[in-house]
Amino acid sequence: VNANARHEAAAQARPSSPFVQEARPFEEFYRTELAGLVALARGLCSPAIAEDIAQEAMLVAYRRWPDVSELDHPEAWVRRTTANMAVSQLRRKLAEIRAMRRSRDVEPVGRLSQDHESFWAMVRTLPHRQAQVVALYYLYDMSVADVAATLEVSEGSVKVHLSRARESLARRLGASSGQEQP
Amino acid sequence: MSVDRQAREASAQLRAAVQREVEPMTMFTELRARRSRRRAAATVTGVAAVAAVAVVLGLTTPWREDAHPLPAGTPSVRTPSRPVGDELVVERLDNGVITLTGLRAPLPHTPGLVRDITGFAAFGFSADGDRLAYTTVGGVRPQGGRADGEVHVRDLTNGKDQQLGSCSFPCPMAWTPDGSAVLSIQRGSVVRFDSVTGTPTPVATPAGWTLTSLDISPSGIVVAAGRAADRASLLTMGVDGSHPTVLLALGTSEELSVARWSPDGRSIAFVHRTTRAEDTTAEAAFSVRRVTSAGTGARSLADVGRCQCVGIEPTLAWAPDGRLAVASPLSDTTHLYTVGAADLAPMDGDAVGPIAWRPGG
Repeated sequence: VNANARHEAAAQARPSSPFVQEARPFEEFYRTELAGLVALARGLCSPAIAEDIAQEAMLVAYRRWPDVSELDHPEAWVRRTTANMAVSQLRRKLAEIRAMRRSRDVEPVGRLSQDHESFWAMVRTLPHRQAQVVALYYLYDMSVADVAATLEVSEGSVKVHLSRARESLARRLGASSGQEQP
Repeated sequence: MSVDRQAREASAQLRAAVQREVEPMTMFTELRARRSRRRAAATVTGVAAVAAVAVVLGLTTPWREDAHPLPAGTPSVRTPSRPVGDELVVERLDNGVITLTGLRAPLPHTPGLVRDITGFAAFGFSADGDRLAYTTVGGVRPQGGRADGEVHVRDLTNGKDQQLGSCSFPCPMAWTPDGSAVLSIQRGSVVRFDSVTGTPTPVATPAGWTLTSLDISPSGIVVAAGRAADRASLLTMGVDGSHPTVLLALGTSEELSVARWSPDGRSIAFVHRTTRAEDTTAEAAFSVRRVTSAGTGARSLADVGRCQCVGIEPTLAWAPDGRLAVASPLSDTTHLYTVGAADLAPMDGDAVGPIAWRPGG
């Protein structure tokens, strides 16, 4: 049963009510989530195509909004989709082709200092899952449990990927891999 | 420096950089155009072309990714359907006279308005619940426009009523937290009336602001629904007009109204209309929405009906205990509902106009 049919059934079940609980408007969801998705894509793939990747993920959410909006956490769904698209080689290539074909010059979004640019460049060389875990954990300031729920993996898996990512980054940055206490 | 710290700093800089540069409104327009282009391409090309497009799109978009729901979150909690302590006061028509009454008990010394007056435009209670401020709105004049309305304060302990001054349609009103003044709108400008003497003090607002509702937080911040630079907006300022801020700006073809602070001053609820208030050419959809006091985290709490209409809109009132009552006139009878964390619960009773909570004793 699709979401529209469920809405209709719910409305018919409450004929006297002027209230029909409808899905959250996509436009509002878009405004709230977009910047985070661009940052996520920016952390995981080339700055030149980060916006395009985020837009593609939002386009999928837009097409499937009646279903996506019914999820308990639609934001997690679109973050996972963005994270997957951003590390997909084929999708990166296609996004780059689209970016090159655009008539206007596209400024890479989110200019960073050299150190921070280098940091994200290193993140992008990590195995895909490690990079996704690092990006979600730090960019969204998520807990391990939230990262696990977003990527639909176990918390143990997230801890392992996060630990390995930190060790790998520490070796290259010449830093300690420990987690600082706030 | 540890990796953890470097990662946090790099993340903070990236978030800030993206926040500065990303323009959601522009990108949303682009998203719609992109979707339209792809739909058109899929429609007008031949079978072979459609097949080719389908292959390309199939490769470029994760249509085949399943939308697996995440583990269920906290179950929705229905709010109690009856107020405890605080009383919801509604407008009623009684033998040709429009009055205000509590849902559980009549209001003492309530004002009554004869039916040829449009009714109460807005009303609200002082923090101690002993004084009622209300506005009436003038009828439509033969030469166009509306006659001025009136701003009153009534002492509910003895029935003494005083007109503070005049107001202009739609005559919103709001008490200051200390009960010393009532804000309303007079010919497009905000006016602060002394609640005892009625002395008016103009409150300056930026050019281009048009306000249709007023509310004041416990800490004295005014929130208004209206327009700024012709965009449907939530606007905030001090009771003296200081620090005017556009908290939330939506499109020019939308409408925001009835903005109300939550009792803790952390959120604002308001009514959203998908078309302009004066637009009779299209059906409007109404919803109750909520944003944080910083203008972030906007979300829809409930859809409250549709109509192709002017002058009919839902209204809402936030109880001191955190429940949000919504009255929708978009059906034969105006129903009252409370909005909880994720659900609606019907309340006993109905109303024909504005609603407000009277603080319990």
